[in-house]
Amino acid sequence: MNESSASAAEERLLAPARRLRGAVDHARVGLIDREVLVELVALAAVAREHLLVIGPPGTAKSAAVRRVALALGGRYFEYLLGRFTEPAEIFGPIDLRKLQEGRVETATAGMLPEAEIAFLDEVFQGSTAILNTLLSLLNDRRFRRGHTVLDCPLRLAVGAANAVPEDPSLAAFADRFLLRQWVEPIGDPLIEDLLEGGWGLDDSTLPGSAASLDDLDLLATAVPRVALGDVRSLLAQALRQLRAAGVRLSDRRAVKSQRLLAAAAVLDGRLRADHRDLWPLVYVVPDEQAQALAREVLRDLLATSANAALVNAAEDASRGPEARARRLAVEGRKLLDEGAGDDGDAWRLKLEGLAREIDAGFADDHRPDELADVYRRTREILARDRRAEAPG
Amino acid sequence: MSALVTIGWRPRRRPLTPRALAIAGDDARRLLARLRHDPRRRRLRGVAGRDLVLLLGEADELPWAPGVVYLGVAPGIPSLLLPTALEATVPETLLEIACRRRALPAPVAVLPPARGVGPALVSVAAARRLDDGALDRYVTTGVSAMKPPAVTEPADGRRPP
Repeated sequence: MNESSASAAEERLLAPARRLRGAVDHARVGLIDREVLVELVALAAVAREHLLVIGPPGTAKSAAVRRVALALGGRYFEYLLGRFTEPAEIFGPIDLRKLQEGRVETATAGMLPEAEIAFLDEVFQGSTAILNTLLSLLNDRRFRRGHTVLDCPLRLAVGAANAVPEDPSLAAFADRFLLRQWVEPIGDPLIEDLLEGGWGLDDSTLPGSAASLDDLDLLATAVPRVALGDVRSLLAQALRQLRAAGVRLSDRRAVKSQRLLAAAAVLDGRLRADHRDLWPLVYVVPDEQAQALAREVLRDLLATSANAALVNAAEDASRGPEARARRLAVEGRKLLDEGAGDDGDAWRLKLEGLAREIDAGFADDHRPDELADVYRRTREILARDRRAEAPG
Repeated sequence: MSALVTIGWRPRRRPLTPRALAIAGDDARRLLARLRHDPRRRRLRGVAGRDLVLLLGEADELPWAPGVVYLGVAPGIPSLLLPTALEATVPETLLEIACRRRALPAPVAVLPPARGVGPALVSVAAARRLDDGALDRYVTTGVSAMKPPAVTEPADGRRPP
């Protein structure tokens, strides 16, 4: 692709990428400390890969996925699997009329084979019959059962579990989920936010999103066209560093991780992946402790990670200053643009919190330019308001 | 005779969670004047010298003001309050040992030469709740009614302010 056609192709990505960013913002409304999870759902969807979320019950795993599905308008299927769940509960019942004709076909209307986004809770509890069928559905987006063979419109499946199974017979199925994210119950400092965010907010009150599945599909089709030349050597170096530290990814995971890097670039509005896009590799590491080790081992390689759409996930993976600055700049601009509204005191407290986080995170001479502007504007408002409050 | 070690500072890659702040001079007086009317003051503890104030509290409760330097606790070094955005160019565990050898009551704030607060080592062991009387006296007279730090000693061996 020459330069001008590459630029034109990137231009065509900007609007759907912006709308998908908006959908991610909408999906986050009311969810506390689940920003990374929502963003990983979006990343997985664009990369056409699946996500496994591990955490205790009641930690908003399904809420995050449901919100993204609602924001995109996709056909959504959600189910809690158990040891006695019948395949018909997931895939649909046998079509009795066809059975009378001697054919074993499944009536899939409204069931997983027709879903565009799916959430399967306690996914490893399913029977062998369910998991074998799921394996093919997740891998090939094809549903096969009896005489029924269907191409499925599934964009993304998110599985949830309390723990990654140790049973080796489940390993092949677990490996279908390229991305892994661990979630914990909300920490003490955020309890008030949790209560406030959750009160009176249900999915029906979510503000509307301008994004659609068409935007998702447009971005997904761009992923295979992303140039990986600039990032492939960094990826190889990262994989070697991980191996040296005892963190070994399967060849399959290593190769597929490139789709995530490419998807990150696309969501950032680019068709050329570079050093900014290496961070999703952390979420490909299949073990929680190994992910923490990966962040340390890859610290230098991930230092320049950044992503305009997935600010929280990029920062969470890299724990790097660039990603942190980008997140603070995005949040800061949004807060400044909101203005005082009806509650000036609350707004000023938030501004103070922003200034605190910037000052606590960046020394004076090491504040990136985009953050420096947000910081300057915030300081000016706080200083102006203090002068107004000062007596006489 | 003690050996002097020059401590340099560089950006800290992963900032520490703020647990305290240091602020000096007129910036300090303006902050304390503001805190007189701020309910957060009841959840803060402080120490002050003539031209330096240190406040301790939870991250969300620490106020922001121009000139503030935030301090936090690094993993494995519980007795020091270190700059959240800067790390020392010497191993910070050695700083901890040095403070212990100087019999500075822990926790000790290690203040960099930034925004007029340092360089200094300041014990905050005697920090106490901010009462209205202490704030008023500090703001109006500049004299500390908060417990003064046990020892103030520059991190690089120069005479204290």
